[in-house]
Amino acid sequence: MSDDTPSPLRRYRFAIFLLIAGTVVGVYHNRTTDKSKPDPVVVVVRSVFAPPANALGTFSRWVSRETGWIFHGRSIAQENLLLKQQVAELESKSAAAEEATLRYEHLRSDLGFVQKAQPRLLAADLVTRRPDPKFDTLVISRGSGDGVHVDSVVTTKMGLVGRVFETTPTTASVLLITDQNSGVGARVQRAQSRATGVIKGDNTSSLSMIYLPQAADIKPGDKIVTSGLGGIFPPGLVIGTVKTVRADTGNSLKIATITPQVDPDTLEEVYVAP
Amino acid sequence: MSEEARRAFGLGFSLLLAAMLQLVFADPLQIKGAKPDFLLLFALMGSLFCDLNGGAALGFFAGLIHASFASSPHGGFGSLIVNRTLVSGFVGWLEERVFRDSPIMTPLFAFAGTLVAETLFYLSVPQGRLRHRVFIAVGTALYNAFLALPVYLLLRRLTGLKKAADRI
Repeated sequence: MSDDTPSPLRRYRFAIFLLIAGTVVGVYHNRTTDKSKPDPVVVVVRSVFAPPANALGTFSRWVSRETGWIFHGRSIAQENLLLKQQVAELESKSAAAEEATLRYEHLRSDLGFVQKAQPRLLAADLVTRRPDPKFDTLVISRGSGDGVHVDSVVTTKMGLVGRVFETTPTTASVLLITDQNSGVGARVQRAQSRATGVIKGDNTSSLSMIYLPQAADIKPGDKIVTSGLGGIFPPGLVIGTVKTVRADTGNSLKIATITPQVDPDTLEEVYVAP
Repeated sequence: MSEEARRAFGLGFSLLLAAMLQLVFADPLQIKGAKPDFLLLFALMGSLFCDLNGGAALGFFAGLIHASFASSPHGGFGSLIVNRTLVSGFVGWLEERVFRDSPIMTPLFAFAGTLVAETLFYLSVPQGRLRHRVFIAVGTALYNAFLALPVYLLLRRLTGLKKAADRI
């Protein structure tokens, strides 16, 4: 009498095929993205899922904006008052800063420095924001078809958000500065200090500024901006504010904890420099 | 449309729904950094209506969608697909061989399945601080366990399956 029960290998060959396919797709993805090329598998998946996700996200943000006052009425009134005061202060500071910029440009021109053109910025919606708690990443609605490329810088009006690490024709993946894999050359904005270091994320709501020399003049409240060292991020983009400073005993260096200027939780629209 | 096609369509539609939930609502629903993993949860709960092969297929596509939107620049794409294929396939096998369709078991499947998937992922892509990763894994597993029963009941309605004997 013959036994008709198929062997486990035969019975589960479809699952085994899927495991092999997953491995092959993963290796292929790593190889293509290492060459800064779009992965066709990602292009197909995103072209199916990104448009409805973008539409649903826009609708859900609209609903949230239109109904938010129901839950936050009193706090919004207080916040409004505070913001009015801040706007008045910032307007006067802005006028002074504009005047200083004009004088600075004049002086640069007189000294024969090369004038840099302001980069063109593209507004982009968020297709998804940090869909996985392990990675601080975004997918935005602009891609290589709009001129976005790997290492394009992503900002908001408030400051630096991150950089592009993968593109498809219609979307791009952005690595937030709060991600553990992110590193940004930074400096203290205060004229008397100008200490430089590197901003590292660790997938939490704060950043660390490392490689600060022991003698670095840095204190809580200092604004941190990009230094322009490293070549990816232009200088002067606001990163955040120093919260605490402590000594890194092992390396005779200092480490500062930074509160990011841009809160990833409230991101709705970003600008990308193609 | 045949019953089998309807069930397959129901499970496919559930993945689309899971993708939308994951892409749009996972981040806003976070509690102290812990977020639900809708794609994994739908794959695990869908596997309760499948055998090993069906569960593996659900896990494969859930992992592919997840990786296409959420993988980091330093690896993890293939690992997300493979570990979800493995875990969902295993749940399908358990359901086929060991357990029978039972709503009471769903939070347990969701919690354990999420923890195993996150552990496998950490072993293949050991990035970040272990403590932080453990916190995230447990938070996601608890979130998924909490959402497991409603998702299971929704899937039962979508697929038209009522009991274990009906499984694909």
